[in-house]
Amino acid sequence: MARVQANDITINAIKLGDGLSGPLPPVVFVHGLIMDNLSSYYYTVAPAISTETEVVLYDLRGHGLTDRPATGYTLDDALDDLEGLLATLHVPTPVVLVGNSVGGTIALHAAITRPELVAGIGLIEAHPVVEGWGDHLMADIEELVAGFDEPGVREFITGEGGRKLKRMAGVCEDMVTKTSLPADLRAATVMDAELLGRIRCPALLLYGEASDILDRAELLAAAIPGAELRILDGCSHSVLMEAPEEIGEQLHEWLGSLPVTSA
Amino acid sequence: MPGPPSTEQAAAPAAAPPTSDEVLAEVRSLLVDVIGDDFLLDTEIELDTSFNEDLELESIEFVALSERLLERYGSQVDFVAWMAEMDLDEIIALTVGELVDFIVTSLS
Repeated sequence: MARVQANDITINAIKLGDGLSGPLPPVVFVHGLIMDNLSSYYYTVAPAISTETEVVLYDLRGHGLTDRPATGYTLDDALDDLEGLLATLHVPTPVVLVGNSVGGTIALHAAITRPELVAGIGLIEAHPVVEGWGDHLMADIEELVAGFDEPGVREFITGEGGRKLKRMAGVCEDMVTKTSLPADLRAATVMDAELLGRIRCPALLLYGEASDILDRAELLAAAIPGAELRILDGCSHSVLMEAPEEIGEQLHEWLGSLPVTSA
Repeated sequence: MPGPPSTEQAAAPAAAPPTSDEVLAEVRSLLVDVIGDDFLLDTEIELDTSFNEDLELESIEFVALSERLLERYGSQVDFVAWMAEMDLDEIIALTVGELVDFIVTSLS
């Protein structure tokens, strides 16, 4: 585990399979929003992929053990952090970006706006930016945080709720009230069919059969040239936790099919 | 790989494998590093202490602990492979004693 200085913050990152030089580009895993961090990959698909190529796991700005400054939460900022991280870790680009949920939004944004950075995007339950996306994402968590001020709630959280609940509540409250994350996400540019149609790298789309955002999977499959959509039976939006082995196999197979790029 | 410690890990001086008590002391000190002192002041860390129920370790802290153990003991103690054999519920239910046993077995 490394504390990496990049883009004026300290980023928590782990490099696995260090020094492996095979035909595959490095794979960088990008986790989801607020309660998520690199552990979602550390305990699931990352170790197996790291036997094939160099792998980078990191905590996004504001998440996990990475710094939580007040600003810098736009999708562009996320890519600046990522580029800084890769440069400091001496990871050659382009890389394959695997993104889960909002991590997938970041991967999509990279494929659209910084194609030179991206050799492929593996999207797990990815959210493209659609109309009202920021509101939709933030509404539940803002309501949750507003509820902390109801009578007795704060006393419970800091008392008998225990250490983990206290920390989780603290993270949610800080993200909502002390950072520009809500405003930054609400200001994100909608990824319409024209923008998505610009994507030229290979794209794998993995979604759960019972996902609440299955319509986005169909939108992406129709708009991204050559995208491969796979629906996993019996799984929901939490497919990475529900079927890590199947996700790992799908990623492995897809990585093996990528065109070999000369470094 | 079975057999006595060889010269292939040049950094690690040949020594008797650590005892369970020594490993427990090491795990305790790494946990203080990861979780911080203030919470642990009221919590004794013994072999039957559970990472989830007693220490309320968050998943990212468990990652930090495994990475520190890797730095401390080297690749002879292969946590990633060990945990790959467990599902998330089993990992969450782990006790300090199970971790200590795994380390002692790996090093002996």
